[in-house]
Amino acid sequence: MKLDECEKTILSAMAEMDREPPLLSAEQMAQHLSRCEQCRTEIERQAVAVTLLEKQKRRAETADLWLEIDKRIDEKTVSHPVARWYFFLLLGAILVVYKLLEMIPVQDLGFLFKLVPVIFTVALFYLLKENPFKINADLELEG
Amino acid sequence: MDDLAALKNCIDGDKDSFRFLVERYQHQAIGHATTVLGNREDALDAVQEAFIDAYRAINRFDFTRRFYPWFYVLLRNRCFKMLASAGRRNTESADQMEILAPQPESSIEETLSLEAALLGLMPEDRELVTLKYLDGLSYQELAELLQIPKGTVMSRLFYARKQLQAKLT
Repeated sequence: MKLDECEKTILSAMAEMDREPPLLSAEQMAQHLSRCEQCRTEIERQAVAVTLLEKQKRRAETADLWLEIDKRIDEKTVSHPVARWYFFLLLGAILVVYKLLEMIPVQDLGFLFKLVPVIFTVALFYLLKENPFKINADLELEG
Repeated sequence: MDDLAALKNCIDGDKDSFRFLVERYQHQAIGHATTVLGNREDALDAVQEAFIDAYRAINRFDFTRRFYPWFYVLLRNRCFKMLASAGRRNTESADQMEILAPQPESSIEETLSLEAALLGLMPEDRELVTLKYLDGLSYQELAELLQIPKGTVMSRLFYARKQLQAKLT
């Protein structure tokens, strides 16, 4: 299990450098490092990168995005759950009325009546803000 | 006004409270997005889109959390989406500094070569290394922000530093 020991030692040394609690005790690290030149070299190399990084700061930023964001949020309304519920309730009521009318025997209510389920489905997807034909590849991109 | 009060006001439809949050976090967000995307122009777009996403999702904010870590998830998704979309590639050359600022303790050449080395890393590695060493986040904070276990933070940092060192030499 040489690799595990090396990994643990390097991770512990780096954790110490990052002022974090190490995985191994100081004695365990010293013991391993005294006989593993590879780990000593690796730690020295990583320490160089850390020292260089710690001297740096992020570029200062001055951009103000509010005006643009303000314009955009005015275009897109915030979804208010209560208002949205009324639409769902209305759609539900329309569907119930449609089903009741459909149950009346010997009634031909015409072609438009037959289109009600299609209109209902379109309205539902519109309310859910979903395009049923769009393949959502975004889900795999997170993380 | 604190973030939570601002968020409550936003849910009640107060746009000025959202402005408060944008103004408080936009610079930090642009810095983070620039790191992931590798260029500032795309970062400005990503931050703008992420704030709009946040405004639209504000009703779903979990008040047990802090605003920025919640927002960072939205920002990160926007950035990685942009990276994945056609034509968006981060530049590998560092003629000018987009991530780092010139420092009196480092020469311009040293900072430029570090910037180039950072740009040569995978966006995820660049993000991790800069959050750790430029923002000074602890392993625990990194784990929470990036939603990964602390052990993964440690090992990913190890490989990212190794890559960085290889690009510097």
